[in-house]
Amino acid sequence: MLIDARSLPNDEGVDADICIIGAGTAGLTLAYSLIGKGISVALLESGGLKPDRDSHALNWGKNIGLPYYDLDVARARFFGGCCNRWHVALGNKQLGARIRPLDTIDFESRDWVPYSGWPFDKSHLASYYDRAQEICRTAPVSYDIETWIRSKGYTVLPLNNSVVETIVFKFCSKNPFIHDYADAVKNANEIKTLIFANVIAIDLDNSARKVSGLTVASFNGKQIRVNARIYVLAAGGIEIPRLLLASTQKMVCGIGNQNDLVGRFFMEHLHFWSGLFIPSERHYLERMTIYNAVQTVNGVPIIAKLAPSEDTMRRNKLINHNVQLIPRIVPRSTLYSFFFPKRKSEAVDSVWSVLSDARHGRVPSWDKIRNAVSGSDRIVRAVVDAGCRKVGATFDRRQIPVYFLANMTEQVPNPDCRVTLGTNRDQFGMPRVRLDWQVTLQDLSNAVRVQEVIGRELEQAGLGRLYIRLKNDTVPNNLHGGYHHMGTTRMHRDAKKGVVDENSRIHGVSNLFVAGPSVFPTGGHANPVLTLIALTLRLSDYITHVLRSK
Amino acid sequence: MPRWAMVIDLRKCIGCETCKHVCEDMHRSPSGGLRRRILTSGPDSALGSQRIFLPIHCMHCEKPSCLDVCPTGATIQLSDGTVVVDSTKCMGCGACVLACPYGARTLESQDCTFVKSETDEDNRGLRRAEKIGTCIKCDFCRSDNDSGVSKGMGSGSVPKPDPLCVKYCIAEALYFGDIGDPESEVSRLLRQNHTIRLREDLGTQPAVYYIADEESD
Repeated sequence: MLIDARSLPNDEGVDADICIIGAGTAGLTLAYSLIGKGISVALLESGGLKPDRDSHALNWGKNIGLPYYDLDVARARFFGGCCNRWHVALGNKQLGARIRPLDTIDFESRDWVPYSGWPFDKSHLASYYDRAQEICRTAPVSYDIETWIRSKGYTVLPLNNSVVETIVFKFCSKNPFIHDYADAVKNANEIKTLIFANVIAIDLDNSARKVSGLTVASFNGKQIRVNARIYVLAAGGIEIPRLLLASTQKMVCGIGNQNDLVGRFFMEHLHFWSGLFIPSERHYLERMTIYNAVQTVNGVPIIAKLAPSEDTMRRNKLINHNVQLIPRIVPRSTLYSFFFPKRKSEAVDSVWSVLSDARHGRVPSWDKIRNAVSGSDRIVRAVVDAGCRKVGATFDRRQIPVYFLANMTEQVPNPDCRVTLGTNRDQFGMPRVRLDWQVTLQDLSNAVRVQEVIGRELEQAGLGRLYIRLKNDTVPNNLHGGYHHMGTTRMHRDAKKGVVDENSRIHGVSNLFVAGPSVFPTGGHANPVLTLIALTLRLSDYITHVLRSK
Repeated sequence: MPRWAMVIDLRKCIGCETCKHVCEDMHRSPSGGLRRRILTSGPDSALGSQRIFLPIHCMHCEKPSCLDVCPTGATIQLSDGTVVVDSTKCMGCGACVLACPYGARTLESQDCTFVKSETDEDNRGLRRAEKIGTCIKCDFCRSDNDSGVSKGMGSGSVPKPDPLCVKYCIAEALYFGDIGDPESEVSRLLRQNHTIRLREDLGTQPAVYYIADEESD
């Protein structure tokens, strides 16, 4: 049942057994899983059925850390949420997203990864991962590479699997979500789907241990009240902490924030292109089509990537990381920047500064001259490298096949990487967010070491040479996120260490739960979609059990 | 003969860049070349106003600046108005890149697709290394367009021979059709809305129109 909240009378009350805030991937999955269970649901969506600029403007906030996507375009604030924006081409004119479960090691408490460890291991989610794959229509459920390559006769790189292994990413089309499940939810009699319904207050009862209701507002100034027995926040890893931190009527620090954890530990997946692999035999990797482009096997689009084995990660204390081999044919001259890189040094900078002063008739400072003289060896090296680059670019016209490495890595949980509230307010009077996205030295140095491990294995297998450009202390200049907003209401049994418990319930509030990747204590290297669907199905079973037992 | 044009409703565009990603993914554009950009402009939304997102690509001008400067005749204007590049003739001089007032052209620095993917559309996955250094730009997804038109599709048909960006825009902010047909959707939109074209002062007569609020001009 679809209702436009703007059409409801002012102060209207909407009652349901379960109220879900947010109709994105998690909210839609949860609502869909509750169809036919005899449970009434109120599904609240801030936007409409199609995107509109007014609703998206509510997402606006400030990025105060590393450059990140503008926050009003980083999320999809309309029915279906971010699954509408899955854009990887899958063939047959379908678009979708990568899916893969987290690895076993991602659930473990690792002594080299601070704040790591889930309240349960991967085996606990096994059946939910299987059900999640049914939802995504990517059966068979196996992620074993042999299962997928056998039928089509693909081959994998002859690497030592105990060190570096070939892993599979499947792709899930967005069509089941934005069509089949969305239509089922909209048409379900037991689900009231309210669009243009913006939650502006989560109200607690006098004990401050139970949600008593929600205040919901629309752009036309009307407000309604939603009352439920159980409430589930499914609005994404930036909006959920915003709502919790802004609800200060009974808890000054914000709901669930008694230990100053809400909004902290924001995690993305670091995406960057760095690393150049030159194959020893030109056409060898062309035969490894499973790595180079999306291929359809048994009706499921897949692609293979390389990753350090779990054994390698444990021995070398690495965090999770995968690389995709991106084929290119480039003029050989472009490689000279790898062979003869630009070298930044104080001596070189001083020379340029002295020359600039001379050109403008200024007297250069003695410090600059001294730096230039004392660093003469570095200056000579820089001149030689620049000359070689120039000669190569001018005379070397050959073209060669290369592979750029598209990296996707886990982030170490960092409490200072966080979502907070700013001073500006939106048109409902709600404070806007500030995102302080940071990376740690461990994130950066891990990426270098993983590339070194992969490079060694490729070389030992006689496949070619990997040129590494990453530095341990430098953020890659093309670093970007994957629109994966994780960790801001992290899961832990101990209320002092997590915002939600092992059942995704907000610590200290008996009827408030969270669905989505904001509960992840660690993010692994896999896209969060499959895990968030698995956790949502688990949550659905739990809250169904809670309701029925009462 | 149709005269293809595009109408972009800036009141609907939310800057999600799905059109740009789909164009890149399905055309297998190398990282150095862009067929489409999304510019942002407008006041800071934190002050309560809304931002404007401006998709920019080849305008397929009636009087394209790029046509006359091309020394090899690689840039061609077809009878339906689409401006295309014959990469077998393009020598990568870059004169067209400089001449285009919309920044809609780039030179392809890498060839990304010497491997065939089973998900490639229309075998675009097979491209030859000779195209390195040639000009790439939007061509209104010419092969899809021609394929659709050859099957009798046109303005008002379902499905329509639309470019990929139009097909996959999640905000339904993009429209494509025959501006020479007064009954086409694009013609209707132009009649019913206030529209602008970029840099009309240059006399290029772009075939891409933007629907905007008058205050957004």
